[in-house]
Amino acid sequence: MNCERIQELILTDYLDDQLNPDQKNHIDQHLAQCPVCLDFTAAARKTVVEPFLHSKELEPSSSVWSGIKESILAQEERTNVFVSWWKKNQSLALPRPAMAFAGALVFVFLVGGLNHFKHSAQKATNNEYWESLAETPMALSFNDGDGFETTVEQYFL
Amino acid sequence: MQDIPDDVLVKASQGDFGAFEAVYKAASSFVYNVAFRVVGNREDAEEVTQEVFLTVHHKLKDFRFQSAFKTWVYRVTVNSAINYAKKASKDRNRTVEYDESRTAVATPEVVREELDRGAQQKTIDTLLGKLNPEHRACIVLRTIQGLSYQEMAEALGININTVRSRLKRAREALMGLSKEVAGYEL
Repeated sequence: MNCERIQELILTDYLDDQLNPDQKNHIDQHLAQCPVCLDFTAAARKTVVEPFLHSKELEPSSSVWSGIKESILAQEERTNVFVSWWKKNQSLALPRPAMAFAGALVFVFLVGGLNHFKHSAQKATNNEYWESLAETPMALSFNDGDGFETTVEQYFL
Repeated sequence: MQDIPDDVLVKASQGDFGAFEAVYKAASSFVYNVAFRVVGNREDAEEVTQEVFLTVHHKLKDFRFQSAFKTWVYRVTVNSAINYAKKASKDRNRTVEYDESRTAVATPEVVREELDRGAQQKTIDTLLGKLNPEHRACIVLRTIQGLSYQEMAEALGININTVRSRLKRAREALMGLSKEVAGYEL
């Protein structure tokens, strides 16, 4: 491994203790023989690691939690208003079971009544038709004048 | 971040506000510190912290424990902080979101002076202020918060080699700033 590759590893995995023991040993052996890479390691440690060690842990001010709490409660309030509005309007838009049953009953009666009316009208028409048919043969069968010949016979004769 | 028992998370996901407060207490320090280091000032960090916990509260009911809660919070935090930093940078027409006065004085002389004075926090601000938000997030997660490369990859939504590559570039930039201070030539 050349110095360039060694220095790349020093800047990342070596300084961050991410190497396995074999890899670390390999780099340590190189550093023992290479003053340039050894200086590089010392400079890197001093510049990119040490300034950040023991950095002060900061705490957010109490106003952050208050703000979060207020936002969540306001959001929940808006949701509750919407839910109650929805429930209220839902009860108007969608019938309760009794209303649904009554509605279905009315519907059945209406449809049934309509069908009944349609059948009655049809039946009346049929009756008139059959009655007219029943009268027609009589007219065809009998000749009141001669006693025997029908109008058909008369026609062919 | 402190460990949060599963039963607390379940209660919080079911709308128990006391449990959610426990989640906040366990995670707020991590969220705030990452946000502060990435966006560069307390006011913006508090805004990011608030945004992160509102997202967590909103999406917690859909959390199925398929990934670790910590990893999820890392990811939400880092994304929010980076996005905020980028947006702030765009809004203010700056290359970084740190105060202009802060970046303007991020010279080797200033770093040397701060190091000599032992003004560690100021040095951290100065060094981080020279990085872009992604590189800053990498340094913060690894060097300050101590996440493993795998945890960083999951938090940042990138593969582990990209984590290495970003860390390398970020540290090279830091060394570039500090090489005169350390008297080291790359």
